Amino acid sequence: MNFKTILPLLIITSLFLACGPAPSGGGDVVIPEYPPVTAKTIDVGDLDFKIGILTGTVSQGEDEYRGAERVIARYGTENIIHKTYPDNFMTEQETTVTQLMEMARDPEVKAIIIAQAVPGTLPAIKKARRERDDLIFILVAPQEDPEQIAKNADLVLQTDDLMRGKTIIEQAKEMGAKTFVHYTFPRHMSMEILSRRRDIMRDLCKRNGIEFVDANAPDPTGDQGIAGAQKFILEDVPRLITEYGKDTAFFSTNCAMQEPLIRASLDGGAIFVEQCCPSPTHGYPGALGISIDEEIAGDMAKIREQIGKKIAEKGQAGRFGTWKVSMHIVMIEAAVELAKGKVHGKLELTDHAMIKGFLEKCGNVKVELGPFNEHENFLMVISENVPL
Amino acid sequence: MSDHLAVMLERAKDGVRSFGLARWIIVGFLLLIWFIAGIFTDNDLGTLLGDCLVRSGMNGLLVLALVLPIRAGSGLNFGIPLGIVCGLVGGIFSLELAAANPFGLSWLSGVESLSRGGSGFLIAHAVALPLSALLGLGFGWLLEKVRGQEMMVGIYVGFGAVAGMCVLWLKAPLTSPELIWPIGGDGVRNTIVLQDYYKWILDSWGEVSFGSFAPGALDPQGNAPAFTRSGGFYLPTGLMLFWLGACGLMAVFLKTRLGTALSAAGENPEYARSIGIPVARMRRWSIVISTMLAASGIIVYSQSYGFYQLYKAALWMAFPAVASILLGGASLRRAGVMHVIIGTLLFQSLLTTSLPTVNSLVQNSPYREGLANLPEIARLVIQNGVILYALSRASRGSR
Amino acid sequence: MMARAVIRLLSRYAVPILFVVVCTAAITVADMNLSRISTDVLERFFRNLFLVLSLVIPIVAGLGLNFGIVLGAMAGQIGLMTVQNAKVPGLGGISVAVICSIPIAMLLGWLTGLLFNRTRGREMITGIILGFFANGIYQLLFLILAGPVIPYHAKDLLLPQGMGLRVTINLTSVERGLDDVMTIPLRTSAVVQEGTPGAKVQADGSYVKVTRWGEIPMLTLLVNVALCVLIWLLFRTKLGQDLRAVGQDPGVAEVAGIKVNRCRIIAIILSMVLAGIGQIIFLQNMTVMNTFQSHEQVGFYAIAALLVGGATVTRVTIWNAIFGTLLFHALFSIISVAAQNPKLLNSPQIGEYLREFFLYAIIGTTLAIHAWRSRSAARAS
Repeated sequence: MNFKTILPLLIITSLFLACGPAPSGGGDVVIPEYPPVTAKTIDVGDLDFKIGILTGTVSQGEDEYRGAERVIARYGTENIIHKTYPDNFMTEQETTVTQLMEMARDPEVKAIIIAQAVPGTLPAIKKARRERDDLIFILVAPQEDPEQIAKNADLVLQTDDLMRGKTIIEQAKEMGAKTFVHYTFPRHMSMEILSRRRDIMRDLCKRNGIEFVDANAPDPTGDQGIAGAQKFILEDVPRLITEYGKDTAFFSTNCAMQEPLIRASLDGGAIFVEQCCPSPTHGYPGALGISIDEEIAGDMAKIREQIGKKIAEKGQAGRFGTWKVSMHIVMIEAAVELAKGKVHGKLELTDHAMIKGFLEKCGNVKVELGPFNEHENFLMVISENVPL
Repeated sequence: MSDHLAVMLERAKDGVRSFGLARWIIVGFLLLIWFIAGIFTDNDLGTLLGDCLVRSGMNGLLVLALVLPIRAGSGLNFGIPLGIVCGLVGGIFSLELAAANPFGLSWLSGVESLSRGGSGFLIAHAVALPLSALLGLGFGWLLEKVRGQEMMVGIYVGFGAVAGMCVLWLKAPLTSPELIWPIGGDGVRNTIVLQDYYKWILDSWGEVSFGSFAPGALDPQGNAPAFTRSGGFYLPTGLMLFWLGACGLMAVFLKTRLGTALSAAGENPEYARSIGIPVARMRRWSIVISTMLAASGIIVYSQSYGFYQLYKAALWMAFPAVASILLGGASLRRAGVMHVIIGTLLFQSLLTTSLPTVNSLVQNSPYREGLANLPEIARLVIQNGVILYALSRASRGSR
Repeated sequence: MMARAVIRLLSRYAVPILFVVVCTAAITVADMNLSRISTDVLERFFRNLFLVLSLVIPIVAGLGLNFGIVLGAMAGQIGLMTVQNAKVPGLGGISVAVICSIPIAMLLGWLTGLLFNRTRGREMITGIILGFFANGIYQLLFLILAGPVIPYHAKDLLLPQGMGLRVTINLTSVERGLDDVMTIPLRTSAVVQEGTPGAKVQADGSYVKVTRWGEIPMLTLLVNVALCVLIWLLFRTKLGQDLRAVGQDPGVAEVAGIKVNRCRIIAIILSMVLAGIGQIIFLQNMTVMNTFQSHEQVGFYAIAALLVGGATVTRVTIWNAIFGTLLFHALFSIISVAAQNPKLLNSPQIGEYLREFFLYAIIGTTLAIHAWRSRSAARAS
């Protein structure tokens, strides 16, 4: 009987294959540009109120959690409330809401920083705004719809995934790529920024004479789970290297796939420009078994050096890359300073020069930034890629 | 002579019938996919088939772990994550021995070589099996107390074990610089690479491969890089032998007196009790063996996969195993070794082959930009549709 | 005599007692703010109750825990998308969403029922895989066909390239459309000393502090009460009696002339329709819908709540659903907050894992207590 349910679907699908919709993207791809901004910072005073920080646990990604720990090390637990959202945040959004509301209902909390801003953030912001209007929400790396997020949050900081569409392809070309493989799955392509980046990449590949391969992988939150998605990557990368040759650059939009992707690219001799969330500590240590004893733990330059050694052992130096520091850690640190300035009335959260200044000061790296879709409170940030 | 032939023919017919319509449908479907993959795509059919075997061998022990509890009347053991975390503890223990001072104990230093190669694999088992036996005993005792609700309790015990272990992973007193978190400097990372330890220790034992990488993929010296599977068909001999050997042992065990007593306890507990079979103890021991098989299963899985995955990775691992054995024709009260082998091969082959084939089809079509999202959607629909169809037909097949 | 009565009482109410003890302990140890907790628990209770109730009918009809309600939730979401596309506001929007979702839910329920009739005894795992399968079709409909084929046009719904829906849909037109029609806030006020934080000076010079304990959305309450009454009435009709008979023993029911397969399909259809409405109630309170994920969280937590309330795979009452929802969400909320209290643990992530561990452990313990009680009851009779 179930066949009857499948049948119409198969017909629809085959119809699709037969006539094919008009190719999306193509002509109307806009390559982003930044307006020039000069960095400046001011003294924002002391932390004399409470700031809430919501991050994931380390198993979701170490960077954000340690970023919050660094802030606590500076300001102490009296003024920083650190909470975590559940590992399966996709199915436990009510818990995320509960954690955020618990902070929002504390009258001493004046600002809340959420990194990464997983689904559940937007309902929580809307619920908190019903009860009080003086709370400042600063979001790092939102995963909900950017238009809605921009309308509801005070400040959004995100690595510039649109601009990276350009920089990654340029870097891949420099590293000698002839083919560029982009792994993703439909749920991610329903995210505006990620699907626009894919279109930018495809367009630039065409212009640069690089073959663009749009590959699908299983959704790690779906039926096969993280294990199935990772195993697929391990199997598929060698297949594609056989098909397209060694000068193939691999990229995936999903954090869980970075480790197998790095491993398989290194073993197969391929190119890997940078991760979905560029940072020396994202993917590389787990994929390559980087030795990090307690003395160099947390030292990004030393960690990069260790990764570089492992890659050089395989004779692949210069074909792998990442960013100098973890931008999410920098964003959390900067967000605390910006929240202080805003609460003390010393700056506005749409002052791009000030935001750039604090990001550069906290991370000790050069950054460029610009607004997303003309939302002055939604800033896309980019830093430099360093080959390993 | 012709009598003999007739008997043979009759047997073959029986075999075909007992294989069940559902399984034949899946086999037919797989053949169709393989045909499409071989003719219409750039994928190497041999590679695909090899990947199917590797995945089946990887997951096989976890599926085998479900047999005994079903036969003993405890239903599907959703609690296998309990065994899985024991296996992971054993695995991490074996890797920590590579540190300068394992667990901060200086008298343990200098045993680095033990953690690599076959000895590491054995040490992992040596720690994992007793631990899982112990926890399995407790789990079996608990299930005895909640008769009638075993499956739901099992789900939550499995989840609880995974969540509880996360605390241990964060607090484990490990010192190996390849295990600890790179920024925090303590706890265990969520992915541990087995490259220099015992990756593919089973897979590569007596491996057979045909074909090789395309010229572009060779390293500068002209050799295929180490630890990369060559293209073409690949037979993970050791892995398959380990799995099929375990299946064989299980089949032999089921034929022994103990094995038949265990099945009797599941089939008709009242009767079994009346002829003196200790029903409760049978059920408990079936859970113990199941937990131990799961512990070994995850070590085998990880050596083939190349990574240990800690924290939440084990949370949903019971569900594909359950789907496999049901697809193989088992039911809540009946399960055999053949159900495990057929079910695992079919389920894992479906998982392995459908996506690359559709991916390649779309990549080669002139509408690839418009259809970019289709492959994964098509996989979800086709793969789960076929499984559902097989489940809906299962009652008409072997029963 | 007295002692035995006490023991009987304790064992009868073992689960609520366990929950009260755990929650009280958590509140005391973590020194929690009671008013914030009660606000959160009330909100969760009214948001989830309808979904949990939608599981009741299939259990009575012997179909076990209906993991298929994921499909019903999808139907509800399709209703909400349609309303958001047309921007029908408030209560009217909710009604339109419900009306849109019902035929879809009925169709899905009918198909699911047909499937479940062919997979008797394996409904649970079939339901889970059916959820995956339906997810594929859902993605096909709303990632590829929405825009070019399905005539959605609103800018806050469609992706800029005109094909596929956005990952998040902000339900601006129907947000809290049911809840906000009439709410009764729960407040207490106490006279306090000068200088207490949050205290306000009164006309007579005394200081009064108002504490909010949450609010009761009257219409949502009414809808839930109505559903309970309807379910209660259903089981007093001929159809309800038939469903019950099918659940108790399909063989006997068949002999008695009841169309077993038809009854089972009706039970699933009812459950799907209710799940669709339940999802609409859930999302109008959350105010934001994750287009491709919101339905996935439905089955698991609703089922856990029902189990905590004392339901089994074969036996359930409305009270199981109501108490289960209340206890489960109280525990969920309290443990979530308590485990991350810096006074208890200085590491929030360990708190997070302990929270999960305790949650699963307590659900497991609850199941064990229920199983043990039903066994000793069986032995006594």
